[in-house]
Amino acid sequence: MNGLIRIDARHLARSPLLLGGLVLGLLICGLALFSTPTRLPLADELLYTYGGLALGCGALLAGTWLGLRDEASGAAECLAATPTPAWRRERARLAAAVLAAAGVFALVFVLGLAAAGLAGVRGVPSGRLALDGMLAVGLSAGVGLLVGRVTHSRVVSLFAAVAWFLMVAATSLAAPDARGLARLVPVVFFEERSAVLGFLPDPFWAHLAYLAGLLVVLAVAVVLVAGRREEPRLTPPALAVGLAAAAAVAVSGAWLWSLPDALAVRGPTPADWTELALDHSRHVPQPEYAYPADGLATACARGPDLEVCVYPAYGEALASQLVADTQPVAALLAGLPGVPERMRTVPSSTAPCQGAEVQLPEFLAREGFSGLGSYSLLDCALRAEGVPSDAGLSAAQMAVSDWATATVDPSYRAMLQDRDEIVAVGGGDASDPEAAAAVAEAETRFQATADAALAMLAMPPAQVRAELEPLWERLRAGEVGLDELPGAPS
Amino acid sequence: MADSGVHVRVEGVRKAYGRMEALAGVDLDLRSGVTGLLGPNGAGKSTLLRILATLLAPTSGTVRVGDWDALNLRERVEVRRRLGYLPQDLGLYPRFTVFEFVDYLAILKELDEPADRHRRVRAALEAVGMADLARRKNKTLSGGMRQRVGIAQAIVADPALLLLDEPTTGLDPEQRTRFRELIADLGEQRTVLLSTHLVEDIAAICQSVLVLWEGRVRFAGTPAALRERAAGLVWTSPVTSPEAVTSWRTEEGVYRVVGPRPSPAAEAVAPTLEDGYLLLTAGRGAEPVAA
Repeated sequence: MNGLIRIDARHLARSPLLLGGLVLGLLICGLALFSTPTRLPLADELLYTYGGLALGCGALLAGTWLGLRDEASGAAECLAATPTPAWRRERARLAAAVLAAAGVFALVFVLGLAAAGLAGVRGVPSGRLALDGMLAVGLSAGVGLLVGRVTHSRVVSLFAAVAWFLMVAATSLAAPDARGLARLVPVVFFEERSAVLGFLPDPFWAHLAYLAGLLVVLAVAVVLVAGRREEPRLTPPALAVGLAAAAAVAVSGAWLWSLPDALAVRGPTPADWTELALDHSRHVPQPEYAYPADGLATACARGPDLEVCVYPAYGEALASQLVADTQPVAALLAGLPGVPERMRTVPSSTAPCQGAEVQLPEFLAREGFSGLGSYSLLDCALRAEGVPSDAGLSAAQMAVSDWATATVDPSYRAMLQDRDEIVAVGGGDASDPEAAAAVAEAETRFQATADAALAMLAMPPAQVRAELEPLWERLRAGEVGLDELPGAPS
Repeated sequence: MADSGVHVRVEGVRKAYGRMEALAGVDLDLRSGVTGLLGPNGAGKSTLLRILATLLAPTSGTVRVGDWDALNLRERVEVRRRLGYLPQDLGLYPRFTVFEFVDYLAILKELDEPADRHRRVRAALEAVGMADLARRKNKTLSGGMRQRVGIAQAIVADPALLLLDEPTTGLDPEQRTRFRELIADLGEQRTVLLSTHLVEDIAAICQSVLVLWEGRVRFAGTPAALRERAAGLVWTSPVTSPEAVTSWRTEEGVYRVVGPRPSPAAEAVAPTLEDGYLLLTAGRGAEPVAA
């Protein structure tokens, strides 16, 4: 039977339908990869989702073609007169279809990652995403085979295959947060995936078990359909495996279905989680919740005044980038009370300032946005302990933040110097007096903080820092006015 | 090669498609050698071959191939292990090469050891003159080439029972001659049932012949015996006769008449196998017989 699998898999892998899926998959993934600033743990998601869907379509049609091949070619009688029963022939074909489709998906995955790597994208891709995609695309080929085998009609098969694919694609893409039914399609749009996932419910292994179970159930269905007029029918062990697989599908499917869309997290154990009745895609830690030192952010880089640690999936390159981005600001404020000395990625966060540590949400940190580190460090440095992150900065805090940012970033300094032009084009809705008043107030505040920041920028940074030091605790508490800042007119 | 053919016994086989009875009680006894199966279109030849190939279950009757009941689901696999079958309308996987297709069928015929299987595939292709075209895609083959690939797959596993349904259709005269030699060789050690419209194929290579007509075996015997049935009923004559089973004008300008003497001037000639077949299917002396 291995010979059959080898011959059929070779032909299927070279079939125009699957090759079309391969080309389409590479094209879509290429466009997605090179149009999105990303890291490999995101690149693999794009490859998984778009590659999986494009190849799934090709695999489905190629599987259908394989299911119809005997009748379409007229070779059915010839094959039926051999001692190999139909169910064994179909089982070998199913194996060939699954292997060929999964192999082509793996090729897309590897090529896509290699291309992303050549383009400078860094990090470690997810092996289990690749496995999930291989199973999903293999399953598509198997479904196609069964459709062809059952319908015996090219037209009906084509319609059935296209309908199935559209259903999968629509369910997968229309529900991008992968909740409920959308978790039960072969290609799930796992958005905002954590590289580590921490202690939160993880749909991946359940989805893998679900797909693997479906494949076994499909194999049993193919054997039953092909062997309905033959002896021996399914043996008891095979039937037992089929039933076990069906049970695995039911259990994992039910779990995936019932998985909460969002959790309020107050601690590391399920007893500390509460399901949120929000249309929210991520699990949300509560403000009072500080992530424990879980030892998961182990890819670290150190500057003179700052250490940054990220999940190893993103590599030390991301940590180094964040250090390079943040160190100049950290150097300006180093040694002042409450200025963080460490940054760490956490699954998600609404309270990033935790003492000497900035807890960066993973989905933000991995993007490597320029200025993210400086902004986060300044935000934490300028707030007193316990002040919520959504509380606005005072005018003096804002001016110091602007000064620090402009000191290390000339473009920001130029923006401050152009404050009059910026205010002039800002405008507001003249027909709404309330909105116009709010805009005017913001403009006045911006003018004032920019003036204060520019006054500090006119002084040597070391002098500004020296003059800020005695004010620092009061500044963090929001008790310092603009007129107390260094360089302010006396 | 197989040591000998297999004994095939068919008793009282009937096959009905709705109200239409394709086989109306067929009895056969086949042994080693080549047996020709003649009959007009719709006589039930392909139905009979499909039943013997275990692809079709008869409405009633028994079919035994060697020691096995071909109608039993468990035993028919043993029949298939000894069977080579060329269906009337053989299709090939178009994207496969010739070698791949025959190799694929060889795997299904339980030739599991790759080196031995490949050797047998090459031998089968050599036997049908397709060795040089082994790498050609099936979709590029002519009708005659496709037919030869079909024959190759039928013989690749050295079957004890070979069922060939219209195997020479599409072959040119040279290929047909070569094919006759091949079948004659195979028939020395196997049971071969050759269904054909071409009487000359049967005359050339068959040790026995069956004539199937309206679902029944109307003749079973040697080609010589079938030919002898027309003895005294074949003439050359300046005129034809309305009572003639068939007649045609020859290149000498006289009629060749099969049937009662058309005129006193007619001269008796030696009958051919075709004359015997034509007389039989015209109803003269065509009582059902057990083959």
